Amino acid sequence: MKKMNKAAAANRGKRFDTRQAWAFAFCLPNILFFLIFFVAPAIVGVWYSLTNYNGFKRMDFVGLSNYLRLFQDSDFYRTLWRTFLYSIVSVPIGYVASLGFGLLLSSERIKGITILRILIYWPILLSTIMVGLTWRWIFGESFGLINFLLESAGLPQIHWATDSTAAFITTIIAGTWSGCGTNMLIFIGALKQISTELVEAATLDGANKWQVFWNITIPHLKPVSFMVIILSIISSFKVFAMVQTLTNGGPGTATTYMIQYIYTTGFTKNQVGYASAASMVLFVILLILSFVQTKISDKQSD
Amino acid sequence: MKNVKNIAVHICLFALALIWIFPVIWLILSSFKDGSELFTYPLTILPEHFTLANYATAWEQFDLMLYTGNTAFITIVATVITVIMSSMCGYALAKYSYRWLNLLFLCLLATTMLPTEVIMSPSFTVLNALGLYNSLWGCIIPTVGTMTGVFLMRQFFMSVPNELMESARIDGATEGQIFTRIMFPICRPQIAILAIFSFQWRWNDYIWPLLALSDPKKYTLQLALRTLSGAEAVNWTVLLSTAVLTMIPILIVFIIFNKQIMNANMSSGVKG
Amino acid sequence: MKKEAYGKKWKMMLGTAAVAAMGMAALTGCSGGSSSSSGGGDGETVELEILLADDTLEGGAMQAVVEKFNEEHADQGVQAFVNEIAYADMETQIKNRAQAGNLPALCKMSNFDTYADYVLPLDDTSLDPNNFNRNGVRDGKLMGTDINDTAVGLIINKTAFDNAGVSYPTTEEERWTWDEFVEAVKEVDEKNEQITTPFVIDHSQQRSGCILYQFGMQYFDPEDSSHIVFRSEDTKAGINFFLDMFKDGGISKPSIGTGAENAQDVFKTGTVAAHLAGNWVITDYTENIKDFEWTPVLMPYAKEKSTSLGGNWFYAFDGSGVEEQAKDFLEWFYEPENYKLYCETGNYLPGTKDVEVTYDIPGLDIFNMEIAASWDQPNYDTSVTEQEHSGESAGNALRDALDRAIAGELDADGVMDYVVKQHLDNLTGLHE
Repeated sequence: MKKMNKAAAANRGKRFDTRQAWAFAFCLPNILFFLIFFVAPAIVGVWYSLTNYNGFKRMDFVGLSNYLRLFQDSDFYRTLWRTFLYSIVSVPIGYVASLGFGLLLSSERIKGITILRILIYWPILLSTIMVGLTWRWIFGESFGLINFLLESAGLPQIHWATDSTAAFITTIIAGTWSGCGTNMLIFIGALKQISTELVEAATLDGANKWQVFWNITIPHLKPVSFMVIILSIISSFKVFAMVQTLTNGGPGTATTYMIQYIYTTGFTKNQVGYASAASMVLFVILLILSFVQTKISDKQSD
Repeated sequence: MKNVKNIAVHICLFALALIWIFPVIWLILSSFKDGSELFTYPLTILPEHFTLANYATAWEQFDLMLYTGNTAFITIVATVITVIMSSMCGYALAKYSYRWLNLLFLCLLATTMLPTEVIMSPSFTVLNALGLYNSLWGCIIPTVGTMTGVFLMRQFFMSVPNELMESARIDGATEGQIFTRIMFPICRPQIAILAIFSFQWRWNDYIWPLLALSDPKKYTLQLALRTLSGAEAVNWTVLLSTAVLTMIPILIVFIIFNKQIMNANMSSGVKG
Repeated sequence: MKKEAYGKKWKMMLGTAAVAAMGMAALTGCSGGSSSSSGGGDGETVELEILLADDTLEGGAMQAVVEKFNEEHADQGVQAFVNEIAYADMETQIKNRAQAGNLPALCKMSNFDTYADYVLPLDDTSLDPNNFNRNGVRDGKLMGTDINDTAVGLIINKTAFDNAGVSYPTTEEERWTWDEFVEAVKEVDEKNEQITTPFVIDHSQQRSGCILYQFGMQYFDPEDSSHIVFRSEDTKAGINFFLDMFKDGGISKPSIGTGAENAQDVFKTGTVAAHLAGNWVITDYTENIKDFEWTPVLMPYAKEKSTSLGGNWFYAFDGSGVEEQAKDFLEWFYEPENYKLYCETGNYLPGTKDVEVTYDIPGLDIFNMEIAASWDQPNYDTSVTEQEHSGESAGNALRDALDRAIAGELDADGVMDYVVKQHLDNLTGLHE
């Protein structure tokens, strides 16, 4: 990193900084994309949040009243808290599961590893809606598979759909199941880069498997872990289509998370202005979370 | 002794994998049941009256070839563009240090924080203004910039030693040449991973096709699948069989790219 | 050296993919081009797009009629085609297509008031507004045509009822009260081992509201449509009865009440005695139930007899560029001969008065009986919401509140508070 800074500093002295021009050229497509497909719609979204737009004709400027109403809305806080809870539980579970599978599947010593890999990867190929539908069959109360097995074994059935804790668990399980594959692939990619020589050298020096894992593997996975966690947190806050198909936010509102809340107010109640305000608040929360995380990670790498 | 342990480990692993994948197996088995057996209680695991009728109906009801063609076009083009754009940008973010790059990184990260579901209507306005409405390109262009892709490539390039670049510079290579000749080729596993992701996202995407397409001749598989959920009821039999059919192409692609990831041997030339 | 080789191979792969992609682009471009400009030698062929979001279980009735139309109009320069999309996407599609100036010629949907700005008035066609069951006239002009009616009704597991020796009502005199109904299904439950849930109801505001209407619920004061009279002893009694069904010892269970399980799917397992549904499930049940017999019967009542009349509208858009042809299509469509084909193929309850429909499936007459016997309040409430508050919506306030009540988050008063608040917040000009 230091070397790079020096090089960059030296470059800054030049009249025409070709290196910076190249860097800019490399980023240009993404910059354009960012401006057109993010900044432009986001500005419109901010504008909506200051109006009483209902998705059709009505659109009057109402100032900050949507935000004021939002901050007084107890449903909003409950939903936010629930979403935090989902994130706090699902992100660590997802992280451990995907790292575990990643370690397991990057080994070449197991026979039939290719088949194993395909089996474990498979869920990520399903669309979110299919994931929700599939698990609905498993967790159904009247004719779901798990309750059928419990009943056959003479055990009491679990009220997956009507007990709010059980329903919460189903969303965690289905969420982990479907999201785990993505992160696992990222870990495998990173594990593939660990130089075998380094591991061999350490083993020759008498390091056991645990020490190798702790002192070589984990530090190597740090940049990737940072990314996995930050993206997992963001996507856990955005969980929507899968939960909507699986529990439809129920029982009551026990599994209604942020995006579903925004979506129902925005679309089924035609309060686009109010829903936009909620989106902006969510956006700011996520922005702060990511900023804090980036700072922490920067500090650690110093 | 070691053999026994080895076998036990294998059995455990495969058992774990089977439990893990069971929901999918269940889905596939159910697609061969007829509409009445699907809802029988007590449940049957294996179809009692094995039938292909659901597949026949799906085939009859939908122009599956057309939809697959459209979906494949969108998926392939979008994936190629995504991979190129993400690796260029990820490379720049990892290997150059200018202040504006940090800012750009944060900006790009911010794009993941406004879900498409909630900015659908402004996004449509942009799409329409660009003249992308009712064109397959309308499902491609708005999706090619992905933070996950940029992030993935950035984190990877960060672990590539700068010496590789320096020595190429001394040899007189331009920055563009360094990227295309040296950097791009060595990130094969990451490209394969990103390609799988992009393929999966685009293949299963329905929001952008929903916004961008209105002509039934341009519909994608996911749009067709969605029509099976009506206002009151879900047409389960056809839904299950169509879902299984739409899974096959992406599974094949996955197996191909899987080899690319797994066969990469990075130990030489690149440090750990 | 090795690295170079890898790079080359990789580049080749990418290149191939890019070429393949472009090839496909060309292909799709071609097929798209040829189909949109299918102009004949003497004059253009006009394409009439019919946008709809049927439950696919409806058997493709529109497709059948469109084929007939195309055959009869083969050389008249107009051909229709059906564009079927998901029900949940309808609103997004229409909004977007209006914005893009790309509206379809015709549309079939459960509501048209929301899109009133874009709907083509049909007052200069031969269609008679008085011939339709539901009123599609706005500001003195016919805007929407009633393409089919739907009614809420009760369907029972006939095999289980016969087994238990419990009788069921098919004439007005035999109609159950809700208390009698509870006794009846409990008896069926006890005498059949297979039955585990006596009663299920769809997770829909129209269905749960139907029960509350039978207890005397009203949304709007019949004398003053801006006066919301939802809060009442009748409504409360209905809500309490409704909630009791899902408690221990009740006739149903919470997973059904909150929609975590789909009532229609559970009924098909044969473990249920009765299902409060609508006429549209008939086709699905005919096709997908083989293990037992079922039949529609009359619904119970408490204070009032009531069904919720709903249905779909068929209407044309202004600005599609083919307005005249769309009007011609509508006139042709409602000719009894063609309309009869439509209703019979889809097992629809007709929305017009001048057509006699005979169905392959027995039992649909029960729904017509329900429509005839129902009190007027449900229709009145619907017309107030649709006509005086078009573009506004309280969402599924009642359903959401009942969900929360079943989960124990609200009581009957809480449900009424919530529903009233949602109406006052979202619909303009109301007072309690």
